[in-house]
Amino acid sequence: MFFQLLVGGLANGSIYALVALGITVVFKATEVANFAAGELLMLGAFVLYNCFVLWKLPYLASFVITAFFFAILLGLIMERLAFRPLASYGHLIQVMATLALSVTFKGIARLVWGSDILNVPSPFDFKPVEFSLGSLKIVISSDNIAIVLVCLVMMTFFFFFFQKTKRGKMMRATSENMLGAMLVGINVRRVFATIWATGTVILVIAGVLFVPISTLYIEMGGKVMIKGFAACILGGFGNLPGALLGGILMGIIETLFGGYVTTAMMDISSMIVIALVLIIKPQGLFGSRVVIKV
Amino acid sequence: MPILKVNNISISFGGLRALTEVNLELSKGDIVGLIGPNGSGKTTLLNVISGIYAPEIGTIHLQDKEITLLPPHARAAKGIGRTFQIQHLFSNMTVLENVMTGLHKDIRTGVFGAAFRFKRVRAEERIAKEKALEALKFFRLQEMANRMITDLSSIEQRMVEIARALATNHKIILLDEPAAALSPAMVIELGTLLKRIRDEKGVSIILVEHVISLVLTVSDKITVLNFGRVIAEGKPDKIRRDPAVLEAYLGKEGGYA
Amino acid sequence: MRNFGNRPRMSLGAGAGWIVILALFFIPLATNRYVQYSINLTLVYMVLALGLNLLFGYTGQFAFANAAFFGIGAYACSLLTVRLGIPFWFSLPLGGIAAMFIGCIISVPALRLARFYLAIMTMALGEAIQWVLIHWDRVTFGPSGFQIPPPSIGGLLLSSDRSVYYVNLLVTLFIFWMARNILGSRIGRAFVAIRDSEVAAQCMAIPLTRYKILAYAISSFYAGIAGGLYAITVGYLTPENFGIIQVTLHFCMVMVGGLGSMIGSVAGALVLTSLPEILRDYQAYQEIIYGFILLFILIFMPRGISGALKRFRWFREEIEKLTL
Repeated sequence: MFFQLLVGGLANGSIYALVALGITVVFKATEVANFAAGELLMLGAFVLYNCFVLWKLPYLASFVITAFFFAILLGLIMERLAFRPLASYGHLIQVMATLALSVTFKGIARLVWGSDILNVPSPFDFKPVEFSLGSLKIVISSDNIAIVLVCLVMMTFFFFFFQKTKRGKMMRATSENMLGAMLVGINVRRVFATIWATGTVILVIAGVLFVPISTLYIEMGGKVMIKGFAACILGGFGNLPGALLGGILMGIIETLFGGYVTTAMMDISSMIVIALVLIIKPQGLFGSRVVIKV
Repeated sequence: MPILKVNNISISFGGLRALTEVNLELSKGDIVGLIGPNGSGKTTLLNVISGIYAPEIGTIHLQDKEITLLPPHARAAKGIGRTFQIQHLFSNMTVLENVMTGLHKDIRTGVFGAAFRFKRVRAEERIAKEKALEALKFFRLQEMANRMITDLSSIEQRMVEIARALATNHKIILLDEPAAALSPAMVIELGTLLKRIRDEKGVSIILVEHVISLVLTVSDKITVLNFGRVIAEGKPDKIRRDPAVLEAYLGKEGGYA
Repeated sequence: MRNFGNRPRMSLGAGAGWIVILALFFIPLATNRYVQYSINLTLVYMVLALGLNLLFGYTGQFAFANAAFFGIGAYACSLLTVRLGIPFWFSLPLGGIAAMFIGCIISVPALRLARFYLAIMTMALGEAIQWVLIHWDRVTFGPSGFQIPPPSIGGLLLSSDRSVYYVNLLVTLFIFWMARNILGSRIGRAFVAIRDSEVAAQCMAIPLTRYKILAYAISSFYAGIAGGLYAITVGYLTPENFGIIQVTLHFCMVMVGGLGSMIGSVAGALVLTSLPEILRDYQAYQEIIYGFILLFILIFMPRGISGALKRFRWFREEIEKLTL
């Protein structure tokens, strides 16, 4: 049972890893904790539903529309509304702005799609894959496999993007040292816009991936966001690989909790993780940021 | 027995050695001047004495009791007051309120007393207010008591800061560049004021200053820092002629054009 | 003339204040049920905003736990009455104390954390409290919530909105009076000192940690009391009332009114409480408008109403008297 749970947790964990990635990408550059992350995910899920179910577009087209056109637009809006006008006021105010936007997005979503709980049929029709290792028997559904695969693809993509491409390096440079980046001639404003767009795209894709394994409802963002934050804290806030690892761990921890204790405890596992990490080792696994005030 | 004894203090920040083996003694009723070029560690030493930084090596004794490990608010409670080089005034309060905050340790009001305004609390507040006005009178600033502190000129603000440190009966006051940007006439007035403070209130003072004339006139003893080390110590006359001190401030003879 | 540990003797401002307070007692004669209900709710949020203002506006702690304390107070007070038969006038302060208890426990780790970690931790706390309210249904009646019977004080059954108003009014006035006293004492000065310069505050013998914990205690106590009043005002409690939208609403109020200003908290509560009632059946609009207002205030009026008004000199004087 342990391994079944382990494998089952990987899908959820991959999604949390993406959420954590989306949050961290923005945080590293702007020092703003994006409290609208959950709602961006939720919007991703609902827009996909809209394209795929309501407008009956083919899945691939829906995916592209949601994850790229919509997400990039949304990211630019966030940067324009929550970040740029408040740049001089400091991070706390910007965080509050993301909070304000999160509530607004929720309201708009509610207006458009209503408060009902929705179920979206999975685009994948394949039979679940069965696995046997000696006496172990593990079943993985095709949804889960797809999710993990897409996540892996994305993580690899972003790894190369940040490490090898010029754009990626510019983004990293601006994150590390905004002033230095400006001096070197990097168009910092455009980079920030790109960063917000990138973070949003990641979160929206996470939302799209979440659709096959979850029901859709307007409040779904909040819980996932807390798990994303828990993942970030676990991995060390501001640390990209840490965020990914933290996400996967969160997924596994959560499923283990659900399997061995009770499913009701699954939601609260993230809060327990947050509390434990902050009390025992606030920097998380890989973090080096100053967490404790001097 | 000196009222304050700083023993062998060393402290680094990252890789930078800010203070090395610094010793300082303050006798009761003395004014000790602390001078040195920019970056020599004067403010750092004050921060170590008031408890904002903890030294890596060394001890500090207040009247023979060791206070090296005490947090800043405990040291203030024991009688060490200070002013700051960069202004640390409470900008959202009036002048009077700023000075009354200096009297925090002399009031005993707790939450319940405050919430329900017991008679004792009201009495304590009244006394605190009077003491604060007294301190302001010392600087002839009592007229400004109810103005917002940000309405005052920077020189007046600095006087309020000193008044804030003075309002309560501290044993030691650390002054960080109180004479900055004062005209020569005001510097002389400040000097007289400092001596009055010492004479009338029995306070011992450590004076960090760049305005050398003030330090030479007012101090009983002077310590000179350079690059975090004590390079000279003694009476003003001796310091004025000390070659090491001159070199620290002016560079080696023939070194500059 | 600043009111600071020395009350002005019946100046014009103070005299006008008394008249206003007296007038407040006559309001129920002029209102219908609906408006009365709104006003009752406004009073609840005033108490709440005051507490949050203390924590956020004065000591600068960016803590999202207010809604949690609000919920704890509401549930504790009501459950004590409903399940154990404790009379309202006793369970109300108990609810406040329950919230304060959790607040103090939270404050200890909270104070060690820098900005966002604090925000995240307190937000997680809020979710955790909601989870408890939903899942511990043996005690809390679970997600469907429960009805609050009208409180009875000394044999008098307070079943109408009007009588609830007087309860709310008296409690609010009392809370206000306490807050004003606290802020006008050395404790209030210490709070402002900590906000303006921690370094200088320490050098004036103000122990930072102790006072910050005190701020958490007072703020969570107020939120808890507000919770109890909320319960008797609304008459029905469900866990979903105490989630992120509450947090946003609270921050809205404090920001709209102006950080660090008591009168600001009153104004913010007033401005923003009329909204939930007008929009009660339109949750979506509620959310959009709250989010929008908060964003608007942040961008254009970060100092809130009281900040904007301070630009007018004559208003400044009046506000100073009622502000810290």
